[in-house]
Amino acid sequence: MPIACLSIPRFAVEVERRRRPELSARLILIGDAAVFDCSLGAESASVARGMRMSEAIGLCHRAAVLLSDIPYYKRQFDEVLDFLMELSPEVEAGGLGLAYLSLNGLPVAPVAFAEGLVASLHRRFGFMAAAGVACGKFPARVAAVVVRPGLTKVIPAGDEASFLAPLPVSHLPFGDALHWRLHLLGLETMADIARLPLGAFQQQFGPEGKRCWELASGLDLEPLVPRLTEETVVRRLQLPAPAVNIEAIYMAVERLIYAAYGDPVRGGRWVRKVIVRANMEIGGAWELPVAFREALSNPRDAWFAVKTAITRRPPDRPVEELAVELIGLSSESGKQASMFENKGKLWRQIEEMMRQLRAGQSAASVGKVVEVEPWSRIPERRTALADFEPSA
Amino acid sequence: MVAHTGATDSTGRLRTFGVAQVRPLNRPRPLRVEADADDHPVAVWLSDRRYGVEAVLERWRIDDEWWRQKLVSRLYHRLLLEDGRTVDVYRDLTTGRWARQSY
Repeated sequence: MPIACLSIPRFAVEVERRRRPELSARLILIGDAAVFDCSLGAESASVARGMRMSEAIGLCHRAAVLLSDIPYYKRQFDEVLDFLMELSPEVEAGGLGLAYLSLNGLPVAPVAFAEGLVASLHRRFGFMAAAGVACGKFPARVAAVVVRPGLTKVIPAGDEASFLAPLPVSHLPFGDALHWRLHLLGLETMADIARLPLGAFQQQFGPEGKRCWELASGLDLEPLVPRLTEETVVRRLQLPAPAVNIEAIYMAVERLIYAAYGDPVRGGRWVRKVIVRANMEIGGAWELPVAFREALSNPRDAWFAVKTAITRRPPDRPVEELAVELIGLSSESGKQASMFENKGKLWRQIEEMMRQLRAGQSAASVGKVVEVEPWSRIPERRTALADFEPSA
Repeated sequence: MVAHTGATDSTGRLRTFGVAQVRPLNRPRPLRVEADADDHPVAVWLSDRRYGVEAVLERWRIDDEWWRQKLVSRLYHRLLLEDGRTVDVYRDLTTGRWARQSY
């Protein structure tokens, strides 16, 4: 079954360049403590993903350094995937900037499809992608990665092994440990692996070795797992000024939840999950998923759960924009049973024991540790012992 | 202060309906410390026994509640004792007293 792989190199950098046109001609480093993504110019200065940011800045000190905004990149990539689903009914996301499309049953030649894919994506979003087509996800991905952006490569059926043979083993999707062992054994290209007997290779590397040998030989039978689309309701709010005060954030989120629940798309359906997102003043994003124990149809109940979650984990920087997304719209409510039914029984036993103790002794002999100011720098302010009061 | 209601429970004993007591945990305990001329601890007394300080692993200072009459100003030391134990002690910079307290 032919599969097309679409690769948008340095996706996060491309997204930031679309968002901030003033950075179009600059070197870009994205990340926090470590480099999440970097522009081609930074790569040529020996910067690599995962490298410490301080080291990367040392290598290209003129680069613009941006905080990674992963929720935003994901949203942008979701838009790309939505678009790809117009071209093929079966699309699988393979990470930011990488997608697989099934060509099964499509009345179009692989070459024309791949070229059309790259051209239409550029027209629609401005991204310069590369595409590879092969029988199997792995050879298709390698084909998309080895060609320059804007170009395509189609591997005819049966030619996968010969295409992969001269390529380095670094294309194999395995961990550092396996790559290190391949290097120690002097296995530098796919052909080096493919020419070894499978049994001997598997004996040396275990189950992972079998998969490694198969991929190096151009055999990838892993099926394409189509992406499932879900109907959601999203409401956004641009704050007039960056909000630092938690009360202002509460007010805005509450308003958004009521607005989202009132959206006609929801159509009276129940909601299983809410995601609250915020864009920060100096870049970066905050995301808080709140899954309800049972689906909720009332915005007041949803707001109560969301407010509790925000109180536990509020944004740590001033907020410029807020968004609320309702997910898991269902026509009926389902109740989730407690996994810890016995806990209630245990509490009842403790309470009964306490009553017995109190009946025999005048002073309470059991206390409960409560958090008072867990954030305090003064240790004795953090926790306290309160009398244990069994419920009446 | 809530007055005693004088109510009785099912056993006929008096029962107090008062405000639940809350006692701070991890309160500092006074400690006898021998310090050198630079005020660095060289030995501590635990359970009437002297333990020499092998090393000062860490030292940090907190200044808080300066707006209150009784401000908090402490210099904490994390000490490695000669028996291999690690203890946190501090010198109260307002009173000059030593105390032991896990941080």
